[in-house]
Amino acid sequence: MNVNDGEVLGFAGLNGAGKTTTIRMAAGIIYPTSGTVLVDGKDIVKEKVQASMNIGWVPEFPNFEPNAKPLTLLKYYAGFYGIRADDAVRRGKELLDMFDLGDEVNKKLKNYSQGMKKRFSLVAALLPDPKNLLLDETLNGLDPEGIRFMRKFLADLRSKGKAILLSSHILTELENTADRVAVIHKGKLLEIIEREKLTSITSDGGKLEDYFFKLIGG
Amino acid sequence: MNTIFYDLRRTFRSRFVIVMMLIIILSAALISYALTNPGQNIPKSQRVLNVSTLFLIVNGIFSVLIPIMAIFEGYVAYGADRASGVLESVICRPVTKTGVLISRFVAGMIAIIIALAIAIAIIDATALSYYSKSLPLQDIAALFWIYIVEGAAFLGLMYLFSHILKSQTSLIGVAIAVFLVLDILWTTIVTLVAFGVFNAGSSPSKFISIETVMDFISPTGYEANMLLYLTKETTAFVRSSGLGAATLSVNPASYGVTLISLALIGIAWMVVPVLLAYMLAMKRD
Repeated sequence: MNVNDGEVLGFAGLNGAGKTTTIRMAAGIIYPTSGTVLVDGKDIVKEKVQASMNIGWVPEFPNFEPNAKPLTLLKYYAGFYGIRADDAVRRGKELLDMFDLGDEVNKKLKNYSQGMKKRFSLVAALLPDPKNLLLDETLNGLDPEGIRFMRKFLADLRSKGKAILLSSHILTELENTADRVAVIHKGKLLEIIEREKLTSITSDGGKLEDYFFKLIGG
Repeated sequence: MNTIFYDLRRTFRSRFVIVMMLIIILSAALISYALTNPGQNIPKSQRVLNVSTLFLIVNGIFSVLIPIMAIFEGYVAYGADRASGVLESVICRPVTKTGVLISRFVAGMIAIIIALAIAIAIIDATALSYYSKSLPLQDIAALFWIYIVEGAAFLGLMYLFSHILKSQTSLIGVAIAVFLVLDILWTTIVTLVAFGVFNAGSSPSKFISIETVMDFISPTGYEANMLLYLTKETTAFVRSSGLGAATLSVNPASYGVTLISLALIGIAWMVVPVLLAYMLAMKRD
């Protein structure tokens, strides 16, 4: 499975299919039992530091140092990428404003709501301006305004040539957002639905959902 | 290097670490006060510093405080973050899991070493001022060594259990159990084993043999063996005429307590638990 530069690869599957596990492997959080994950040619296990330089990971349920304040934590993260503290603060403030967290900089992260933590997770992932993004159920739980913002945001990242893996079980959203959709079921990759096929599935009033269930035999 | 600076700052911002450091320093001040024979007006020329007694007092207090600091430092700095998923927000950066583990372990050890250094400096300064005599360098080194080994061992054990247990609750449970079994109840366990399993009640030398061997398998026991080596005295339980305890002068080498065995086992206690945690971090996650 490849995620190309300048594309959003949707990652669809039922709960427990293996979407989060795959993403966590790609982010270097857990080790693959077989196979390899290459990030711009670097092995995430054997060349973890170099591979992680170009990954931004947004987990489904992000957890941060509870007593840290956002800019302190961003400065700490920035150090791993060789970003200077003042540059990290400047970029951090820009991103916090962009994700509507500009007024929350003096709050400790333990006082953030789950939605705020998710937005902060996006800020933290984008801080080093990585070439590759792993977004795990990022659209989940967003209100219509949030979803519209994310669509625009993803389109913007795509236009900048970023490679984005977006997992979701909201198939209608993947229909609208992804260039291709990979379907995973019980830990096995069943198919990568190319754009043309995706268009033909949905063009005659069909739904990705129907095709998905046919694929997994449900 | 980035991670170690941050972890150090984080360690010294932890209220728990600061409180524990202050308690250790305060207890050193109390030990120092006791050293000055309060209430007795002993002329300066007649003041004699009994290092064995000093070691026993320090042991009684530090053998409880250092493990508490190490265990909870291990829980707060690593175990809780690992169980709650906070550590993942760091591991996804350009850093290895083992890099994070080592950085946090080193930061924890630095906190313990600083607390110890201040505490020992207070005791030494008191000895110099009251007895006009500084503690012998080898005794200062021995005190440092004992509690660095003990601190590293308990800290390493917490890191190890953090890679075995998945929840914060079970980790807290194990932290308490480790503290009770390997520290608070260790002498009782040794005595029960010596009496119950090996029937060593009537023979002090048999009791000491069992005690020294068992003491090598606990960081707190290691401290007891170090004291045996330094003071050449131990307390053996005997029941020749009813149960009682007697302080006996012994040759530590005849029980296997030598400089080499102490050095090797001390290094093993400092290295093995954290090394096992390191291996689990590399292979298991």
